[in-house]
Amino acid sequence: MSYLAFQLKKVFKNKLTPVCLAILLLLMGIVLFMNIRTNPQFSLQAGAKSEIAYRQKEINQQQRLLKHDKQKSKTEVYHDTKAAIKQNQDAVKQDKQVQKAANKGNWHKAYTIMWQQKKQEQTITSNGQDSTGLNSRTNVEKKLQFFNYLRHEPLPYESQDMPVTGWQFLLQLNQQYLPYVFTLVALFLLTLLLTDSYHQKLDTGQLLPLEKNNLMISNTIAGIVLTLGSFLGINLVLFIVASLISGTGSLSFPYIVVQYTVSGPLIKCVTTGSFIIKVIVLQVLTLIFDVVLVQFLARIFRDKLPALLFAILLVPGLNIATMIVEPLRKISAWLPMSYLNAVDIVSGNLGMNYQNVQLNYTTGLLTLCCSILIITIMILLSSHIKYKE
Amino acid sequence: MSSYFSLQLKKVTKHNLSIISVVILSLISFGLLYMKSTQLSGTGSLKGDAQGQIAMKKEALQADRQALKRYSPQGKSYKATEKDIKQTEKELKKDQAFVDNINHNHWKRVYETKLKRDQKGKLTDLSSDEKDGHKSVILRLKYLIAHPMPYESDSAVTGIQFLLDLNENYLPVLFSLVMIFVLTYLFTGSYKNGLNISTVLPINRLQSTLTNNIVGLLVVSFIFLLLNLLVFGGAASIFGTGRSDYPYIIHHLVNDHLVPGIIPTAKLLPQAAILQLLNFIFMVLFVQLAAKIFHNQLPTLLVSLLLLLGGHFITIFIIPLEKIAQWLPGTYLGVLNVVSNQTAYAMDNSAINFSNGVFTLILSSILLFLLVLLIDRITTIAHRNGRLA
Repeated sequence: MSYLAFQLKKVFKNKLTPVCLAILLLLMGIVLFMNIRTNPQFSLQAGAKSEIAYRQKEINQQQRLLKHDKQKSKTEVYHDTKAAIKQNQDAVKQDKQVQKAANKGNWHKAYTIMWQQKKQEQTITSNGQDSTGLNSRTNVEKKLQFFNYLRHEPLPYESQDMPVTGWQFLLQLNQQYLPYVFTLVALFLLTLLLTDSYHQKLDTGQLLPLEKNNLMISNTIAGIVLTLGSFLGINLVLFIVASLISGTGSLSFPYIVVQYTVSGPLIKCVTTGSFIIKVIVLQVLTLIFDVVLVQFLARIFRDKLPALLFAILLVPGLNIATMIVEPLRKISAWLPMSYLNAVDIVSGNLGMNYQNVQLNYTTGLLTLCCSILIITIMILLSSHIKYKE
Repeated sequence: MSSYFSLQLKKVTKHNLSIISVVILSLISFGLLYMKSTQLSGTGSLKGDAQGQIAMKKEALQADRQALKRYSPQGKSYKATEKDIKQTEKELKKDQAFVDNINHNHWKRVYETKLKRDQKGKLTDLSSDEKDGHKSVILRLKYLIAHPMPYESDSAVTGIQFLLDLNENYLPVLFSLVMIFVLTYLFTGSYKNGLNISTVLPINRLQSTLTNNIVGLLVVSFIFLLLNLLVFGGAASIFGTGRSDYPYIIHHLVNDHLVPGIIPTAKLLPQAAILQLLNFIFMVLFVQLAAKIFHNQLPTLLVSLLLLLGGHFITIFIIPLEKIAQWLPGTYLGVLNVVSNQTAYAMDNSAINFSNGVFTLILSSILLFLLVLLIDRITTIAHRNGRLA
């Protein structure tokens, strides 16, 4: 117990830890600030407003065209243009209704109109059967499901492109920034924790009157406490700051989940609450994986820099390599590093991007648990061999 | 002085970090070479595409001939199918001739046929980037018709082409990452518990700083050359060296617009080499400065990684920075892309070129060197005062 406390103190009293965490908080704070600044442009009302402006422009252009072709009033083009104007005018009317309803807080009405609009859009896009249209069709389908859910459960609108409310902002952070930046920082802190007892390649930790396995377990627990603690700490601080500024947001707000199947994408809406729980489980496992991996590397290299270099190349390095080197995508489901970005895994976006059916939550649990177990056994074996020598 | 120089040099070269880094980098490089070689005659390659066409047409021919048996010889469909068969047979002969020309190294004929086909393609649906890409492919074919030589653009596997591909896409970041580790080891090795033990040596600070810088530069350049030589040797012994006058696609400035162009590869290299050397000098000085500020291994490493590599990627995250990217040293990390104006084209900033690169890198290196000297001076004065007190 006292060894655990000693190890933790070693890390937290080192200047590196507060500096790293402060840099992270500062960076994420900047992201929050930028989001808050641009969020008004991403509200439901603003979307309707820009849509109205676009349609109005379109109508004006088409009316000018009509005037130009007045003498050919019997032709097909003339009728088509007239029909298009009518359609655009209807759309403007609908958008105005959305704007009004959203302003009044009559969310049910606003969402119902949005849902109807998306339904129309879907019938238009479903005509195109080519593969390039697949992306746009999926996007429309996502929006349709999203508003369908909200139609039945009219919650105040929260932007997911420029999130500012507590939960949604947290999800964006964990999707775009923290998986990479926090992993980097965590690897540094873990290296500091787990290689500090090596001097000139000798483990001074062995001199302590502790049993071998106890030492290893204490080290692992210290690593988990350190990474999980700082990860939760950062998330908590940012959640509190975001919530103080613009509210926590609702946990039953929908989040769109895609499941990539061979026959085509399967789109579902889940509540943010149930989504976050899965994300947390996967995130905790990836952090534990980082801890055991660094411990294993420390045992092999018995030196700070080589262990850290390998850890960086293996974890964020391999994760980024799968984005660039396409053949790696086929086996990415069996690499524990692919699950760094837990949000993208649970939401199915990564599986969709890599077109890999196996890249999902359940495989993630399996892969991470197995690799943690394998590395732990290898650490135990290596210490056993050393002990015999 | 010279003995300190050899001491520092030995410190790096005899540490397993240098050996590990060379091994890792060459393993990754050869892994890439292997992956490229598997794509050599697949779809998208000159021969692979033609052979695919042949196989497809043969199948169509067979189906048509089967159909012919079912129709009555007087019917309309019989004649249409017969015409189709004749057309397909004609095209098949052409494709066969194309493959034969490749097999018999009649390159001029191959390129002429390819050029004719490519010029037929429709351009109206393409975006301006795609149009430029198409234009550069046409230019390359025209160059190749004027100077017939074997085709090397299927997949970069020949010595020179693979080296270029590696230095264009992978090494700038990967090599810098590994070298920051080596440099950090070199520059922070003399700090124990935050104190610089090399101050007890009977050489003055300026001398030791200069020696350290020269050793750093030598080690980085040596590893770079060694790696490139190894990779070149490996690729050349399997797939041949390739031609040094093979066309390389660049962008050049015409009336304030970057348009695609072609130059022989060899002409690109002198400028790239100069910029690469300046990059190394900048990197060495930067890590040196970080080491002098932090007196500690891990913080030096973290800050160098974040700023040197982060500086390269910052324009992706903060897009407005693209406008002033020519004054940021991180822009010039990918030297080949700078020299070929690819970076300028991608960022739409024609000021990113060789001469601005030389200017920015030299200026920032001088600034860094002055800062290093300033810190040296301050610590010397602080020491003297401490001793007097």
